[in-house]
Amino acid sequence: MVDLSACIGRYWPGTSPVHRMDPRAKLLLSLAVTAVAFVAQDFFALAVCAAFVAGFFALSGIPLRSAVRSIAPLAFIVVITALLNVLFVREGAPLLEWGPLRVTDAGVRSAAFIACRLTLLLLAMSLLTLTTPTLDITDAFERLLAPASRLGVPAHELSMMMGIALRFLPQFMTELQTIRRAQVSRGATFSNGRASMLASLLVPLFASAFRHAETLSLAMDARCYHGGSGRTRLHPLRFSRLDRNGMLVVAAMLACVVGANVAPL
Amino acid sequence: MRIAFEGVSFSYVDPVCQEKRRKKARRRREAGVIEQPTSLAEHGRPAWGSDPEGTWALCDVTFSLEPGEFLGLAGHTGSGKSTLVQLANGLLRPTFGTVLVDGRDLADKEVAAAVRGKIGLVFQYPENQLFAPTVAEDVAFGPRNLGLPDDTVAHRVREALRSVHLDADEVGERSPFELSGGQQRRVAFAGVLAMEPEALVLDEPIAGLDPVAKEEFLQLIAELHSRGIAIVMVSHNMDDLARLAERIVVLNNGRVFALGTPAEVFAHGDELRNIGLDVPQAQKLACELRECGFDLPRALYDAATLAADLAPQLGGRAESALPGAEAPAPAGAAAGAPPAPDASVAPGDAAGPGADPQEAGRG
Repeated sequence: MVDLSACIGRYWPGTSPVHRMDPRAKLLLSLAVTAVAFVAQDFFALAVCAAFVAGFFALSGIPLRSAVRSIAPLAFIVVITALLNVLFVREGAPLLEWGPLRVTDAGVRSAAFIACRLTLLLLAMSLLTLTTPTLDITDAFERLLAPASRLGVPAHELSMMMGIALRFLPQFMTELQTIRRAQVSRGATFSNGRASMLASLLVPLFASAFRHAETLSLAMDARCYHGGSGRTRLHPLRFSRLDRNGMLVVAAMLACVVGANVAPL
Repeated sequence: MRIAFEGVSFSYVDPVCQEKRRKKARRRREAGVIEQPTSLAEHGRPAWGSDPEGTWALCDVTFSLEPGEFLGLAGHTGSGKSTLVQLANGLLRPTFGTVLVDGRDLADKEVAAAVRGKIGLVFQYPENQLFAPTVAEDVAFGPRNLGLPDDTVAHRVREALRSVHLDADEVGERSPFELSGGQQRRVAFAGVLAMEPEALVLDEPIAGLDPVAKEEFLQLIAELHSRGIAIVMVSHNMDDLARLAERIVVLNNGRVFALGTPAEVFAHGDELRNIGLDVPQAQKLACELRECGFDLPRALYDAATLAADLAPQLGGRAESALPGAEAPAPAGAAAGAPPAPDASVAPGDAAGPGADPQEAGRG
């Protein structure tokens, strides 16, 4: 079975400065870092950007190998984008021509550039999920959306849904596995993808999802859950000096990248 | 149908990862970096324990289910019972060792597919696997997958529902989700029985049922067994196992802890308690009374035999009544004793206070 949680970068426990940062700050800063990666317009600027990201990883104490492994499942996006660039960029001197296909040096160049940029983006996002437990991320998400709740956006409910969905993913994977085994032991075969066979998996899975939802809502009711208003926290989120420093570093990163963009090579 | 486990070990660790690790170790061994373990040289394959990083759900399990036998399977939570159950019909393949069904290796996919209809596996909470719009269709799922013609399927559905004491005309066209929990479980059970298995593997079949439904279900299982179907039943209830099973396998941390008749297995109450299990209630009481000096010679007691053996010693009415005064029971023992038949007759009263168990029991 595919382990879904591995796709988004599994939490890597630690006590590094990156781990100790406020999840809200981390969420915003990782978005900022991805934006900076888009600001970079040439290889030199991208290299500066990469140097900063490498520095963040070094600071977080996450081994490079597990960082790379955490983005490996998404590598196909990088490969496909690069291939499209190689094949569809028409400008520049042709390196290879075969029928309608034309590979130019500009194409190869832009493919390499985009591949590097995408890899950086993925690494920056995986740093967030590697150093922050999912609960903290949903929490940060809720707090950042809080101002929008005045406009009628159900911030608390959205993040609660997100948290519950993440919580139940592995549960449903396990249940699907059990149901599949039960139906296989009744002679079912799933290789030919017949609809009735799929129903024998999906109907029990949905039934169980509804059962879980009912039980969970009762359990939440029993503990006096009444939505987000007036709810206090056991671990209130607080910005610290770490977060300020983090912001300064990312601002410095932006400045360096912009500088690298304008600097004549 | 004979299912034999021969030195079966199973690990949930990704086999691909394990294979890679093994290859790496082999390369290093060939290069002379690490030494060859002796067991590998002797048996030509990694022996149990040679992979220190692997976590084993089952290790070195050897036993067999004889045709028509009732085998009980006990063990604490996480002892490997459910893994063993899935190995028994080829859903999982052993990491090491073989599972043989009538002498054929279940690791072979074709053998496993052929045998699947013959070994019915009922998972925990089987009602969670119901899916079809009607009861009859759900029960028909198994036989249809076997490729049987329609009239045979219909006949089997009817028979299977009858053997779980449900009326095909009454419930056949209803949605399985409308039924009560106990009935749903019967339907799920029928779904497995409709494949006409020669062996049934039941993973905690009575978990979560009320006492009446439990009793009915156990009776149903006993009935199926009396028809000649071999049964493996996983249960936490030692009383049920002692009553129904002909042999019991006790698992502890993935290893066979004990294997034998209920009398043999439950003779070691202390050891069973140490691994988080217990002995049947009557047997437990018999052990305690024995320690207090009662003469209880049988290896395994149930309520009836215990009462029969105790009554004469307590001076109650029994076939071979002994004088109550001769029972060498200290006073403290009586507190745990069940009321003996007709407690008012107490010839032992003459022996003075404290000498008679019932006297102390009343006080």
